Amino acid sequence: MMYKFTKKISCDNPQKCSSDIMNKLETKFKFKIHGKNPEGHISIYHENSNHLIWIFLYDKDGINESENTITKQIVKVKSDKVIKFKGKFPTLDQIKQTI
Amino acid sequence: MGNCNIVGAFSSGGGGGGGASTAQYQQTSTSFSTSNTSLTDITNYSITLPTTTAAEDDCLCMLSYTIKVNVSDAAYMALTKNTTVLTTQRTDLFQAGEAQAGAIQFIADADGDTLKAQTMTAGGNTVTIFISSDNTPTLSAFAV
Repeated sequence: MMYKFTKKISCDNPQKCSSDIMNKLETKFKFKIHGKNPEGHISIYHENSNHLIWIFLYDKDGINESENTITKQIVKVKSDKVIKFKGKFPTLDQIKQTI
Repeated sequence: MGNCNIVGAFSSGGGGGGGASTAQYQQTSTSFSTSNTSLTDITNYSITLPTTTAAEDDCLCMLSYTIKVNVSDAAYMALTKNTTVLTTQRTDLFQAGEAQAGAIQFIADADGDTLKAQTMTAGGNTVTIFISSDNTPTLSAFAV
């Protein structure tokens, strides 16, 4: 499942910015979006005052999802690195409020 | 640092009986980070490949980059034409906060298709890969 949205964030340190957002999400929703056997992933385009954020939570074991930025389609590929998120999927508003 | 996105093309006359030569390029100073363990598009890093009337209808596709990780690991960089991965390159293992620069290239048909730059984490332990803003990455394609 893809959550995609923009957020008014300005950052001088993209690494810290990304880690901070990831930590907030993982703490709040108890999913794992980095490290070994992630249940999803996060991508961020750190444009000043207009960060574009993708959060993916996988709904099947072994199927990675991402967005083709040209066609805007969801690309699903087999991957033995990822697992299904078994918790309750948050709403987009809940995610936005957390970041 | 302000954002700087440059998209463009420039042409030069062909010599020695060859056709027109056109280059396409994309340059940005905005950082992109991902924790994806499969190849994912780097935002704003796509171009339309040039077309040429030269007998050799190829183009040289290049991506120069600088990346960082915040957990020690390696990364993959890739050039992808439409949905076909042309070539991938695995970086050396590097440490958190360390910047690593590199370049990847491939010769492809100069047929007007879309060329994208992609990246992914390698070992699964890396949290995020960054395109550094202090050494601007550039995606280019030159008709040859």
